[in-house]
Amino acid sequence: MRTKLWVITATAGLLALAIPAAAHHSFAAEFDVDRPVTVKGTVTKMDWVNPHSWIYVDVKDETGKVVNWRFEMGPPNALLRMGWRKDSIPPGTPVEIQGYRAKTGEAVANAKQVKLPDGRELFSGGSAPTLP
Amino acid sequence: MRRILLHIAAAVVLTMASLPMLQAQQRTAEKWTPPRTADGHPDMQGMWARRGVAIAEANAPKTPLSEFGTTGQPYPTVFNTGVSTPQAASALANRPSGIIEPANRVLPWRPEADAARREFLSHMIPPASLKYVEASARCVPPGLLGGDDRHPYQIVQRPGSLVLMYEYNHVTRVIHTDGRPHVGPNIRLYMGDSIGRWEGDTLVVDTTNFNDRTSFSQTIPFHSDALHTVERFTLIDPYIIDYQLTIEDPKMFTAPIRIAGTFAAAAKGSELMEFACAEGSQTLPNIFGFGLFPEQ
Amino acid sequence: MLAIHDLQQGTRESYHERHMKKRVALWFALCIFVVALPAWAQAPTRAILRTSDGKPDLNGVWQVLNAAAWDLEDHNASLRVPAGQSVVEGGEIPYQPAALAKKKENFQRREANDPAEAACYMPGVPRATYMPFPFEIIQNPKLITISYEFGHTRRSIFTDGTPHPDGFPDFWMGDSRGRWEGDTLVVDVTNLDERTWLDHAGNHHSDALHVVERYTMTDPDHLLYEATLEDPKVFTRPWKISMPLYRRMEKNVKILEYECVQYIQEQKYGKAKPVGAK
Repeated sequence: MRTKLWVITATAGLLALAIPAAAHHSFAAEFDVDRPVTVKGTVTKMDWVNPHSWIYVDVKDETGKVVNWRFEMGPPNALLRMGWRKDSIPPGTPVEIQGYRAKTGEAVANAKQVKLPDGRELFSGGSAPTLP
Repeated sequence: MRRILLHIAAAVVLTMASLPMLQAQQRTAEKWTPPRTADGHPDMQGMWARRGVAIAEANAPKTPLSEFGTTGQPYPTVFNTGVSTPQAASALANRPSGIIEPANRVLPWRPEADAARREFLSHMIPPASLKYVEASARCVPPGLLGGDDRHPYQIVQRPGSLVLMYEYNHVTRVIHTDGRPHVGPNIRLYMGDSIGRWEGDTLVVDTTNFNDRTSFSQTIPFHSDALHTVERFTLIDPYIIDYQLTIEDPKMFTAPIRIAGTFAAAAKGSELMEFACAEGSQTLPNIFGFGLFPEQ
Repeated sequence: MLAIHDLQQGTRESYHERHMKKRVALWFALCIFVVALPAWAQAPTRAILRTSDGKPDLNGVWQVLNAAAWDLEDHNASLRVPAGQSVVEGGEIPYQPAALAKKKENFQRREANDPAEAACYMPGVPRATYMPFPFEIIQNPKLITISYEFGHTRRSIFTDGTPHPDGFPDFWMGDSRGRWEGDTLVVDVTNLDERTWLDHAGNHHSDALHVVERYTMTDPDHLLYEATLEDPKVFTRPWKISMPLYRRMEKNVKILEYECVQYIQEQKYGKAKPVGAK
């Protein structure tokens, strides 16, 4: 049963996980640990692809111009196993995202933390969010 | 009267004292034997989470590759959780993992190989060219020490072979146990050529014919094509497969290296999901600044 | 006719008796012939092997022998492309007009835009079946796995009675749920990513594609593969392809590796310099 699955996973997920360093990504080659970013905006799309899901966010800069940022996240399989679904984060959801910017300088970053306006963190616990 | 009571008390005390012994006898009498497939071998089929299969050497050279921490990523937590293993949780804490031989984890490097990998590491951030981009970032098969263990594994057994399937990058290892020989020496494979045989209840897998395109870790970015490995899979209880990996690469190391790991039962109801790697990977376009497919 | 005089006294067959014997012998021979005829008329067959749950044993390495990978429809040869007769029932794929225009555009740009050939993306279903590479069927009562040599592509066909999951994203190889209808494995495939092509000629589909495959073992070394495709956004009606799958008979045959990701990366980035490299 799906609900049971994510409950078990949420508790056991707290197991300290020693992933071998040879993961499938070369973060240090792509993203700049010296260029952290924090943006506030609204979700336009979430791409449920492997090896990384992506969350797209419209961000207004100081001049009022809207730039669409692309944030890289982990593989969606973990989310699907926890009961998340394609429509779990609908477009229009306001978010604040912290991450590290791509070395190419584009509006691309690697997400470290994704928060809702009420302070709840997305993607830190197990359950899919109940959004207002 | 008192003497009778004393005798009774003594009897009770003696009985209580010997209960543990009786229980132990009962436990050894109930030694667990694995369920078996139709051809008489232990049935290791099911979904598994792999742990501990890593080569974290002592005195590892510093490298900017690990700038983002031991897991190599700043992802929000839920993306960093592995496949849950509720039944095996406490057992996992006591399992051997990583390098067990040499015990001090100081690897027996050939000096020229050690020098070559340090030289190679110095060109990896930023990567001087495609060759210096981490192998693990390129969505090719990861070799025996690679693979993303946040994703489960599945074992299927049939007469004549055991199949080990990685969810990560949909890698499939068909380990033939039908007595066939290895393929010829000029055939070279990312995952090598694996031939298995049963030694009692342990599956021993001999793998040769590796190409030299995979890496062992962030500090051992390559190995040679002389690599030869032996793995031993033993189902020790319903939730744990003991895993041993012996690595011999005479062009890199002067002695074999042994690594211990575990395949722990994954949550009931989990099944392999597709993990498309190259299809969604923007790693090389991010590094080189071009090449997102399709170009418009 | 005169009776034959038997020189030995005692037995003397009349013509009638001798003729009767001949007739009986002839009838006897005819009966044997008629009874044996069906056995002679049939080519000698071996029984198909079955798994422990009584199903046809599809385990093994299989491959097609046709030119469908290059073009599902009738086509002529060109450099490095063999000619082929259509594997489509009725000959032509029934496109809606706009979709046909898209196909022609795909065809013009196929060398750069074919996701399987130009980017080594997983070929999707049914294309993975007729790529010119072997694949291995790994059969278990609750799960049939197909491991394709092309790009080490793999798909899981769940035969445990579970339905397609709700709310899942699309997958390059779709979501496959199989069941047996007699001795035919019927596989229902949904959630197919719209970016795959059906062949190198640019035949395509949308995210509404629904494929039903049928694998029937016609003898121990041949499968009949049929696939019905329906996609109301692209085609005017469902259509069907069919082709034999041939067992790879070589001793100790196995799936090797075709890692086009490596070859394409070398071609694309082999001489390039990363951003920020000295």
